Amino acid sequence: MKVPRLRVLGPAVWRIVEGLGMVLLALLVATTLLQVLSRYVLSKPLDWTEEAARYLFVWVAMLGAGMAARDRVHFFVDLLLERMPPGLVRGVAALTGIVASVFLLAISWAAFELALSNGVQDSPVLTIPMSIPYFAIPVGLALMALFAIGDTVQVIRGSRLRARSGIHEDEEPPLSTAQP
Amino acid sequence: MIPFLFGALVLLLVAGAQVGVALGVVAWLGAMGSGVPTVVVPQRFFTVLDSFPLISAPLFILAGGLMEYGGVSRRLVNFAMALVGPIRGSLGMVVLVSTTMMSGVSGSSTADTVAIGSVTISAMKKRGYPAGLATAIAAASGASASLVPPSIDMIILGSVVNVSIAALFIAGLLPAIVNGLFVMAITYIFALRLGLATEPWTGLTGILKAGREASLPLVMPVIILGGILSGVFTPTEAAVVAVLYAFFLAAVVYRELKLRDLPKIAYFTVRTTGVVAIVIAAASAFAWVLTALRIPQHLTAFVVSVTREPWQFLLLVNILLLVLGTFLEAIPIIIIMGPILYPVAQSFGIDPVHFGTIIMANTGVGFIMPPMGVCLYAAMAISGLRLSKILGYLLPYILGLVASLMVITYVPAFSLWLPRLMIGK
Repeated sequence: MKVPRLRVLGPAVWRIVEGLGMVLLALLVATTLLQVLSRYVLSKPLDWTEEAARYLFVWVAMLGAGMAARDRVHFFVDLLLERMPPGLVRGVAALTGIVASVFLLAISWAAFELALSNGVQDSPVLTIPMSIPYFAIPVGLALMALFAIGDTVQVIRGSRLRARSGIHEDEEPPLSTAQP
Repeated sequence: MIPFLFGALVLLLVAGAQVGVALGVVAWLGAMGSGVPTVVVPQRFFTVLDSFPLISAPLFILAGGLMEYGGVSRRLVNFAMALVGPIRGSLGMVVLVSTTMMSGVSGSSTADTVAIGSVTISAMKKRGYPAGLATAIAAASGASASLVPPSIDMIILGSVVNVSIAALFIAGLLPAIVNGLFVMAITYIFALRLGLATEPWTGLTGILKAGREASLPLVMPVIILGGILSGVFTPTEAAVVAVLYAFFLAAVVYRELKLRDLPKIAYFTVRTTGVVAIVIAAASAFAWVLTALRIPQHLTAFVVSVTREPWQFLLLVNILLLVLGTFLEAIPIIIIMGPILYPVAQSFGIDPVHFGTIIMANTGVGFIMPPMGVCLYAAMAISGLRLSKILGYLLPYILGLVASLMVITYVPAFSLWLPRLMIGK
């Protein structure tokens, strides 16, 4: 089933999210590599690489979670939904969607407050405010929340049978099947 | 409280909620129900992701992507073909052998299934294999190879239960071969019954030629394992070496990787990392709540009241994990059940490394168990087949891997001989 990609946030925002995710991934690789090199090449290993790599990873992971929400590739089980009558599926999908939306909004807000409250504390080695790595959590969860809400609205309106199914018209083929 | 939480989890999963969201909701409810502030849930998200070993996940995914675009899968398949060509059903065995080799480079069974399946499923269909069988073979090969190090799941297990990741890695090697023999035996039986094709024997020169082509990728597992075992690098550092080596092979040696492929691979890596991370984070939040509810203590008391025999305990563990494996993915099972089961296993005097291998073999079966089997999904995505067309062929492989699990469970030597030999563990 092909469905049009849900438009949540403008393309410019997504270009930033994707670009940031990929740049931070590159930095993550570079930092980890630097850690190995500094231990075996330099006489004195660098002390900041491990902490920097960990914080980069948190950001890569949470931005990736947002991207996965847009591409609808988060794990879920659809085997039983496939066997239910369409009317029931719509009801179930709407309910699940509401639960997911409420939860994701609540946890995004909690994560946002948590990140704010960590602004007063500095990280041990880099001495940057701990809110910088912490903010990855509300950002990623909020992106997921936006898509959960958008999907649920579509399901309730009836423009889609159930949330999170189908392939986008403008999506790249999956990595591997693109290969001959 | 506990039956309610697990009931809600199953209900949400059946209703089609995302696995990470479902785990997060029950963690949230559990925290509310036990009077813990709910902020503990996002706090656990950060605490568990803020981990150096986990960085190996995006790195191994990236290495896999680079190798796939760099033409590594094809060379491994060619080499495996030269090795087992003249056996009946050999192409099916090639899939198992090359997935196992691929698994020695990449850390994710799904990635291995995709990398080899995308090259071999259509080839099997062309040679007259029923499409359902071809899909089942690719999926079962990925599940079978899940015990081959390096493995993101083993890294997660090692970090949640404090068992040496290096020991878990090396312990998986022989059990992976046991798995592989079971899978190949089933493929052979299918081949005899269906009269599947054999491939021409290319002789020793053929093996040497294909082997030379595949030799560079095959060096990589040696570098990764050797480096970790000798203490030269941590699993995470080994993963970055794998990225570097994969890039070198793909871009410099084979020259099949194009510059415009890099953003695609990076995008895929970031997104897949996100999928894995949400499940890890939400599962740890749920596991934290279960610990706060003193589940490990209750479970230990219950199990001890049922049996004092280690073999009965292991049987119970296997049944429990297989049942969980039907509705949960490997990572949440490892994160939730690992810390709960380990203290109990210890009280029964079971070796922690052997117990780790048992858990991995269980989640390995889960990889092809519907409805949550990720290797099954990966293979289905490649062949585009519905589950009903595969199930008949898949079932023998599931049973085969369960039989292999029993061997791995009750013959500890398979898991413990190599670690004792190589790191004196």
